[in-house]
Amino acid sequence: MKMTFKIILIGGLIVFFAVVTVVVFTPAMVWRPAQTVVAEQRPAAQERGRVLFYSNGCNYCHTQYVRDVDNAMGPTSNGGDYVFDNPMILGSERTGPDLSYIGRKRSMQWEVDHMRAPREYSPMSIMPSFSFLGDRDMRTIAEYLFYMGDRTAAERMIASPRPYADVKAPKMAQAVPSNDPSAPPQGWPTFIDSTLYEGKLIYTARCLTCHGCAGNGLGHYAGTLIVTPANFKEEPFRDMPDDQWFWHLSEGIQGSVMPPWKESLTVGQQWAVIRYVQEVYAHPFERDPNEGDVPKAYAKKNPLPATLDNIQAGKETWTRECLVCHGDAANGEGPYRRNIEPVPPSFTDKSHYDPFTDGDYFWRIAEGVPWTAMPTWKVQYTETQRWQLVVYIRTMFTQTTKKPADPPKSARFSYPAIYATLHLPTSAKYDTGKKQYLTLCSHCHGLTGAGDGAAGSYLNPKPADLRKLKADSKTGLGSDNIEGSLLSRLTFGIRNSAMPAWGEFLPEHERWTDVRFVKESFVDGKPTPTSLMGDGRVPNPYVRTDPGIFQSEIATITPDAGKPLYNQWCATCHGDDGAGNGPGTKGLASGGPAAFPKTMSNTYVFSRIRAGASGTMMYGFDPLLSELDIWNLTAYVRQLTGGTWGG
Amino acid sequence: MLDWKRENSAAANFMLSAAGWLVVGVLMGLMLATEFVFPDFAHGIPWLVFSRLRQAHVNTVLFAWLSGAMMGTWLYIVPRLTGRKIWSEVLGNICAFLWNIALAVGIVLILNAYTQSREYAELVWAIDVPVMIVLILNMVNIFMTIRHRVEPKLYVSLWYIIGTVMWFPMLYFIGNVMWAPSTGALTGVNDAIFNWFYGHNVLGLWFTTGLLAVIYYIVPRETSTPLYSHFLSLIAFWGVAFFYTGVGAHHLLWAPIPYWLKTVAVAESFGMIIPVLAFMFNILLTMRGNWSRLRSSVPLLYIITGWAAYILVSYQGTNQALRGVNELTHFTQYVPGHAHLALMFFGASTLFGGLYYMIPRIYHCSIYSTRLAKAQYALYVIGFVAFFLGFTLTGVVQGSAWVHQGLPVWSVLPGMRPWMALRVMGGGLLVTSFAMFAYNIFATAIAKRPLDLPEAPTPIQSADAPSILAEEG
Repeated sequence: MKMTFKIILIGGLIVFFAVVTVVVFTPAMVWRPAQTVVAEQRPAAQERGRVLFYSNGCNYCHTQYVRDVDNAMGPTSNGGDYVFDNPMILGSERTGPDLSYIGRKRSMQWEVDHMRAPREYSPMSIMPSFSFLGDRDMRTIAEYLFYMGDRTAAERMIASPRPYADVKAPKMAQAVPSNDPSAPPQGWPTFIDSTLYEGKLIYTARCLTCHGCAGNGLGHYAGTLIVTPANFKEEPFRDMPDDQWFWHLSEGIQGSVMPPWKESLTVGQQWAVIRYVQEVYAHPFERDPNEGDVPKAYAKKNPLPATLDNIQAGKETWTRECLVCHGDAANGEGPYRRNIEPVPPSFTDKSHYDPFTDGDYFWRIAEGVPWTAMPTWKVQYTETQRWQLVVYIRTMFTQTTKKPADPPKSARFSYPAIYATLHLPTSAKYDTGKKQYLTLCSHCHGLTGAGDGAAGSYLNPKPADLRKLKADSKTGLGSDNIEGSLLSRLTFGIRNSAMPAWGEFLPEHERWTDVRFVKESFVDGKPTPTSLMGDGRVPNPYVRTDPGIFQSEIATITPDAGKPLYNQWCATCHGDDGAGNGPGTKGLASGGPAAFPKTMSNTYVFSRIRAGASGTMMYGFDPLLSELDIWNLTAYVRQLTGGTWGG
Repeated sequence: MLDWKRENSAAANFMLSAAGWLVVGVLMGLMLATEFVFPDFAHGIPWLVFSRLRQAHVNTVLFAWLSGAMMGTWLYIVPRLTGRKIWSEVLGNICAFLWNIALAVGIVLILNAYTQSREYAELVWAIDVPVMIVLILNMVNIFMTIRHRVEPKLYVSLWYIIGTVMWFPMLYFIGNVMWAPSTGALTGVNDAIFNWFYGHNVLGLWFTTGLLAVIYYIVPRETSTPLYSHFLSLIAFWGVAFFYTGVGAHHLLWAPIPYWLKTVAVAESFGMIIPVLAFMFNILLTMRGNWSRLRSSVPLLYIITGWAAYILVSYQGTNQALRGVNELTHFTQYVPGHAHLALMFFGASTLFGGLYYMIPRIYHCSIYSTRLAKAQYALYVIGFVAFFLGFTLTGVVQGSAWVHQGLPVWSVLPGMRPWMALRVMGGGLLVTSFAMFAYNIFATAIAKRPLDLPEAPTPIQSADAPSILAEEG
């Protein structure tokens, strides 16, 4: 074959385009993968983050596609995941982790901090520091990363696929009654007839561990999962059509551990549990529970005596399962209260609970309460365990059963000796502990640790005065290590009292933050600076805050409305007149607060009440008080300092 | 250098500027290798951060060094095979000038985070345009020279040069999606297909074809032996054109692209064995009886090393494109190891040979120091072996930990560190070797030492004399 110039040119072009047509032009024409749930048209901020991400070359170490063979990185990537991406940054080297599904695994702040100093957050990392980009750019990149991949089908509300599209809920034996007051009684019979009881049983047995008894996605296993379980109290569940419910329940949720329940539930059972979740969590309205009398099978006397062991066993179950809604003092103010409708009851209501028999409690624990979130615990706890719970409730909260005497000193529970050697880790932050103390401890132990919290008043024994704690009182650890001793009491609780074994509920590092706060505020003393006013500057987030939207539109802000709140929460330290010499400051290790300065602005007072003062005992009342309440308090405080409100 | 019309000045300008870029490029590489072991080495310096520097390194060595030097060798080879001076020496010099300016600006832009971030297609559109202009002007220059040639027969090197200068501008245009200036990319996963079609053909239809032309030219010249087989040359040339064009998708064997496309890419990659073996035997049989020349000819030593490296890297590449192997090696440091075997061993060695051959002939002098060139060779080979093992073993650690043990990515990092340190050590030797090369080449061009054997080096011997010796030995 003679190779002439022409042959090389023409032959070269023909061969080249013959192959290019197959490997480039054909795919460009025929390959149009359909958009998947992972793809989303990004808002401008995320798009800016993406540009920063690739123009700094992050994709040269972080891939963005998951292969079949990759372990525990998320679902295998699909062409439709990328329909909005330009340029493609799939990546070719995986020196750092794949980022396809990194979204929402960490907070945005974590991403920023990690970009700034990678090895402080992942010690083995070999990523360079990107601090030179500056906070704004790093935050923009974090904005992009935070929304990558982790969008569940439910969240995106894409249409159900063909077999599920427009599926209608079957007709139930009896329609769920409306909230019309003239409707027939809505107690157990209606509840059972409308298959909701069957739904409650399935929910308690199958769904509760992840979605929680309050339906807020905070069940026991939620903390172990990467993709958080759904919170039925939020959108999209309030308005989700039936076919979507059925589809997600039957097929599971892509990218999460939600299983395809069609494998183990019948169609009827699936609809029963959907109906239950809808009626009790997603769009509840209050109905008359009208429970009726205790059924014969449950009208029994408690076979268990009120011994220390039974009380302790009951308390452990209470801490693990009941506390989140009913609260540690059974006043119905557990942390999940805000997720529940109707709200959990307060066992301190004597007129209601004094006539209760053992059977009353036992029955409700076993079967739940119709139309409420109270689960049917009989599917998870044995009869003995339920009776132990009854013992605990009746001895500790309603005081309707006589409490056994404290055992002699020699027979007391001895805390594990290891606690004598434990010390506060530096990672336990005072301010974190303060917030936790306010929300979990202050209702019994009081704001100043004097043991005079409102909920503590009906307990027997009374909550401890934390200022009088000594290193080895009660623990028997025989050490002067107050830190380990506090942690041991917090972890195992106090026997024969309502002090829960917080080890059942709080992780260790959170318990340590509590110890930090209690020790520094009540035991050692952390002197409060005389005045925190400084130059009266207001923290950034509050600079533009104003009470406008409350004033007139929702309610009226008046000092009068603030006064009772002040007396309840503030006077104990700040005093009735704001001079800073309230009764609670007597014996308080960290001393009393300064008198209110006269020059405080409205916004300043608001920000202080809402966020507290970092590093001091001044709590941030954000978790306890509504914004309106805080404005009312602000108005009252301004009045105390001789300022005027309004205008 | 300022005389834009002096014969061979364009070739020399391309080659000498490239030799300068080489040192810059490998220093960047050494920095990158160091940052793998000491991540805080360049803490807080934006343009030394790994992710930007890696792109700058790739573009410096690929385009400024390898491509520049390669285009210089063509401007030397083409006149000698056509019997004509280059069509326009001025045009050639304009190309050399524009090429260097465009890349200098492009690399600085990358270091300041102006990049398209598509592998091998990082240069932004504003740089793509002058690059395209150079590619087209260079094509015109070479085609016009060939059209006006005196020697009627086209030697194999010219086939490759014709093909390369014709294919690459089209490749560059398609692969860089130059009709979309804002991002230089398509929307959606097809962009990856375009990217890797282009990305692998920077190797396949630019460096491979462009550098084989140099090997085909120098081996017969330095051995004074005609090329063994016209037929094998034909198979190799058309084989490369057919098989290499379609391999790009083997970079995406586990990505969400059409399954059939992956199969085509695997088949094409496997088919590459045919032209590679044809080329291997053609050179091997040309070398038959001439192996002793390796001792006396520095250019041939490097060229033959480049030839051997080409065989190795092609065979490795074919294997890596098999699904089962790819499953283990993909995403690991094994792959950049492969890329360095191609460009730092095959590419660089061939061009070292080419420059050691051509620069002395352009300036009518001898190599400044043959001993330095041989010492450089020793460092080069030892350094590269350590360097390549560093990459490969890092990749083996990663691949087996991920796939066989199912370990998460971050947990494997400490296990990679010793091998990444080995890479730095090998890299240190390589950088030293390359600095010696650059020094030697510049010294050759400046000192212009008189030839040891003036003008006609070895008298042309009858081709069979050494082969008889070889058979007897």
